Amino acid sequence: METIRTYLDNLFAGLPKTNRVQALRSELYLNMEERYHEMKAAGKTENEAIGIVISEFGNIDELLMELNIQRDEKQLREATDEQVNTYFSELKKAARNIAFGVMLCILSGAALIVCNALAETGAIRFIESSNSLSLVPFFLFTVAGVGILVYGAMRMEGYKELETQTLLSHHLKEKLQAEYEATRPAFIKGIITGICLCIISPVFIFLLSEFGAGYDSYGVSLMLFSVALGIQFLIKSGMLRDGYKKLLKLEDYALEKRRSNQVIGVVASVVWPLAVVIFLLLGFLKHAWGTAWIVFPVTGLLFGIFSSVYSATAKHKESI
Amino acid sequence: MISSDTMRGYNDIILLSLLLNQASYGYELSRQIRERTEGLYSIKETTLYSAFERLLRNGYIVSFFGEESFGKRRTYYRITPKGRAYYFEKCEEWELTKTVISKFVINQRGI
Repeated sequence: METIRTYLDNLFAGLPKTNRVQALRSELYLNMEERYHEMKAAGKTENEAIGIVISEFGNIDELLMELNIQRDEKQLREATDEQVNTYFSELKKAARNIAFGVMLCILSGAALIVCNALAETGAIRFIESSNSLSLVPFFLFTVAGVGILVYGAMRMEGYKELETQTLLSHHLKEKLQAEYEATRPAFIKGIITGICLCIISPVFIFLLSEFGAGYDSYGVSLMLFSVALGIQFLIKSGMLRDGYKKLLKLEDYALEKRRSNQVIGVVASVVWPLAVVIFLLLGFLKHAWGTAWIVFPVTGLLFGIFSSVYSATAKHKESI
Repeated sequence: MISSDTMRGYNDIILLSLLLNQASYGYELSRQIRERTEGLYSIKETTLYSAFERLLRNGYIVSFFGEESFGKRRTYYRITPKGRAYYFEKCEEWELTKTVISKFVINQRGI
């Protein structure tokens, strides 16, 4: 019976949810249910019964024409197994690209600091302290990082339709749901590892400052390295998890929640780079590497508050 | 199997005739059609409900909610006097159609 319900759900997914349409849908469902039980009583197997019920359904367009109902412009289609498989293999590649790109961006800061430190101690002759040449590694890392990051993000561009405008057949939905549950422990491990690496990252500053003042900057570099590594774990586990949620339309990706996500996404793309800039400015101008990292947890907290308040008000508005 | 294109014009007659004596609901009507034609014609769900919509719009039938023994609320349809008149009109038309078309149809024996 679940198959029949999914079949009807998918057919009605793109239709306006008026009382009339809902009544029609429940009527059709009751009929199909009755026919199904009749077939079962006549000794048909589950699959045969479902096959007969669906073959006798007819063409929904015939009914829509009579009811004068237009489908939503973007019609929801069913995704194929193959589409979903390529989606996940591409998603994994994209996650690797994005994680690596972000890591390079973060490490560009470390490269700059190490460069300056080496120049100060005279380890590299041709670069003098605060010379513009010391910016070269920084820019190389940033350019490579941003390039790879954008490349990774572009990879998923072609899958926007699959993520938002498609439905899953019953069998595919069950399969993905099972995978989603099965990958939960790996996801939790990944997130915990990532968070731990970020949390312990400042320890390197304290540790290396024990060796003397000259080692401060190496401590900062190690801290950035640890954060970068942590973020690798967060991005890879998070993106894969989100992939499942998008296709299964769970939590934030439920159809009605999408609009607020777009706004939150835009705000996030402004707020986080801003946090990085503030972090680097505080570090370079105020030499506050030891305390500037507080920018990130504070941003995280404020952003979390913003997005939950925004979702709550958006939901409130919709319910009026 | 009869093509649904051929049957399109006659679904109205079939449904109205079944409603002549008593009100009924979707599934029951499609079951009756299958039984009476001994499985020769089985109306698709969407065809059935398109026909209901058309008949309702023209005032040939009215719908109302009826309780079924399982406690599920089902939409029942009842024929109106206008529907009755239309039905008999269509029956006459069918007799005419039958006469006309049969002039052009040969059966297997060639008569």
